[in-house]
Amino acid sequence: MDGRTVMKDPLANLLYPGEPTAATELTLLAVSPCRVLAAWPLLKGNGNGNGDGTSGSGDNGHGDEHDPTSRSHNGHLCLRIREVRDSELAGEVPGQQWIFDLADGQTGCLVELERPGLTVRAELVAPPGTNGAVPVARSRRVRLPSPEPVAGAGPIRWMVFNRNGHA
Amino acid sequence: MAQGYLSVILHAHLPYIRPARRHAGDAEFWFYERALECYLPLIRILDNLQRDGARTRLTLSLSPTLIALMRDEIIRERLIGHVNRMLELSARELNRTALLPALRELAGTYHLRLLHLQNILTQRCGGELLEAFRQMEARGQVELITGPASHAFLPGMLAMQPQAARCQIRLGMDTFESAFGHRPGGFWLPECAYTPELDEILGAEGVGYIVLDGRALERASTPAFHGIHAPVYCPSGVAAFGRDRDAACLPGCNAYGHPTDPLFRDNRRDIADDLPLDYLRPYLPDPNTRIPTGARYHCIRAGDNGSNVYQRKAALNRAAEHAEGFMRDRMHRAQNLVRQMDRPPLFVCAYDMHVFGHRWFEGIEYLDYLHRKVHFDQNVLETVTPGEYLDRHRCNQMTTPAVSSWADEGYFDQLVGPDTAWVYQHLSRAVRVMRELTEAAAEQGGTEEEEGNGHHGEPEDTPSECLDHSTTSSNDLQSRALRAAARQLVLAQSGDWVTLLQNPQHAEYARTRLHLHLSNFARLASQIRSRQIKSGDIEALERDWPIFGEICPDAYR
Repeated sequence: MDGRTVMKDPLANLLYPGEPTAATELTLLAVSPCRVLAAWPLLKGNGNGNGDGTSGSGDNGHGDEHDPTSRSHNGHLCLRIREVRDSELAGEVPGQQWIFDLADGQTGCLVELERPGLTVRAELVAPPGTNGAVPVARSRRVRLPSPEPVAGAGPIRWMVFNRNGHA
Repeated sequence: MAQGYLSVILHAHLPYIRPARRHAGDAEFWFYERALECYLPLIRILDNLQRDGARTRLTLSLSPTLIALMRDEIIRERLIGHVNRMLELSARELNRTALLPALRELAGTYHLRLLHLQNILTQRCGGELLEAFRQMEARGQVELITGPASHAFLPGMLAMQPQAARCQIRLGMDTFESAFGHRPGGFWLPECAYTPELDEILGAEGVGYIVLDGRALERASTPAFHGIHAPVYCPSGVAAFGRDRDAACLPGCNAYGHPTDPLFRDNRRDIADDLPLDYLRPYLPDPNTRIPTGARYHCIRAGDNGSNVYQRKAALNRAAEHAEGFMRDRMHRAQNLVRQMDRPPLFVCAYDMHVFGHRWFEGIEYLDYLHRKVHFDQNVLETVTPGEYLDRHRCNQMTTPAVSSWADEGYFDQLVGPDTAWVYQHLSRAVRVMRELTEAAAEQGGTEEEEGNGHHGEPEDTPSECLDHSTTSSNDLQSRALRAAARQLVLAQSGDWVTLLQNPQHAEYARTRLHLHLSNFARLASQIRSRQIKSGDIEALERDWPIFGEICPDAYR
């Protein structure tokens, strides 16, 4: 298990004036059978959102007291990768999970998982022991590819389609 | 009936590099260089094949940004100017090399070649490269397809929002249709990058077929019965062709299409690097920037006589030998496979078009020889396009191809690394903002769908216009602002920036372009949100980025 910090964002100061700050996107992308990328915008700090003490150029009109991502910097958050499974009775069941500390200004993490083909979801959470149960951002679930031959694949089906894709 | 099919697919793409009023430096030159080294020579050999009665079925994928460059009047004029300058330089080279017989012969060859290419550009094409491709398609020699609007990495777009991928696909097909008058039958996925979630969108947008790395079929939900030698249907009905990885490494070249055969021309050594700047200056777009001239006199490695002067005739003979070897190998494999299949096996040979001529100088002639040999010298193989194949073989296996790309490892590691991953959160955020803007505009009744107006309005005279006045012109201005914002977003999504960021020579340019498009987008988003749209700003962006006139922001809803 390995979580690599992605390069510092050279456009971190790019702001969207007037942007609602109700949610933080957490993008999760399957890169290879054992690797996912989690990426998120620079989380807003106290007042300027730059995390470096400089003033932002934006005028978003939203006070940080309403911003669920308001932390002084990323160091107060962790990235949690959860394995998720589907259960007929209980719906989505969380499986194994891995937590990574985040550095100041970090906006992404390439995570190397232990085995291929997992279905995972990423969350930005406060460190365990604080308020870690409540994620401030959550990604969609992503199934990593499996390089192994498909076991128990179904029968071969043959179809006739027209060129425009209609059967 | 043939015992095997050979389907050669060439994909050509360049990022949109047109600045409004000045040269874009090196980046703009990429287009002129590719035109002289790839597009015009390809037109020349296809015309010659047609003239000589050699049946050729080739698939050409032209990316929407490349189509836009080829259609652009300023770029077309500058291309003619560039060809003329290179021709003048080649004439001067005849004088410079007059006392150097080995080089003089080569200089003469280059001069004649440029004369031919100039004639093709100005007389054959009337200055517009697309016209030649239209004609070749009309005579059934090539099948034209396209790809996402700005060559975006679609699995990455999909990870953000399905709308981002859908808009790229739809706009790409619309741009193609406006250039060629019909929807493309096939769709090129940049880097052959595929994830099964794309299937539904591709099917809904009317894509007929895609080309994937062979591993996508071999690792499909039900592995492809015929392997890569027949296409499969994805659940939406889109046909997926598997690229023949063995064919991907061209004979005499390395895995990236750079020549390794000692006889081939060394494309890295140009007179632009060897001669004084004063000599070159009259032929350079920027008098202080050296650009490759195409005048290259050396081969990869010195021969037995110790000379490393490029011997054109020997190199072409070697290219012909490689074409022969490639064809014989496919023939042999086809004869073995056809006994195990209910149809002739298919070999899909998909390449970056810029390998031929640009990276590998003799590659253009290699294509010529290959098609001549397939037509005249054997009766085992037949060239087909994917569309033609599907017309002949409508019944195919249905399965779900696996996540894959044509990169070395077969996944997305080269596209999403520690150095470039930061790009995705910016794009993700911008897509979300775009969606919010179009949804808000639809609620206000201000999008073009409600207005039934897809055309740009006349520029406003006033420097700024407040949308608080609910008038037709303000709705039109909002509609233009949304389109301009969507255009900047699509340009920011270009997969080229991620690729170029990994190249030290071009990383700064990629960062600059990303910053430019994203900051343009953020500024427009702010204006639209605050209902303080500056018409001068919109006009300037429309003038500076005259691409994607077909863009419809509603695709983001």
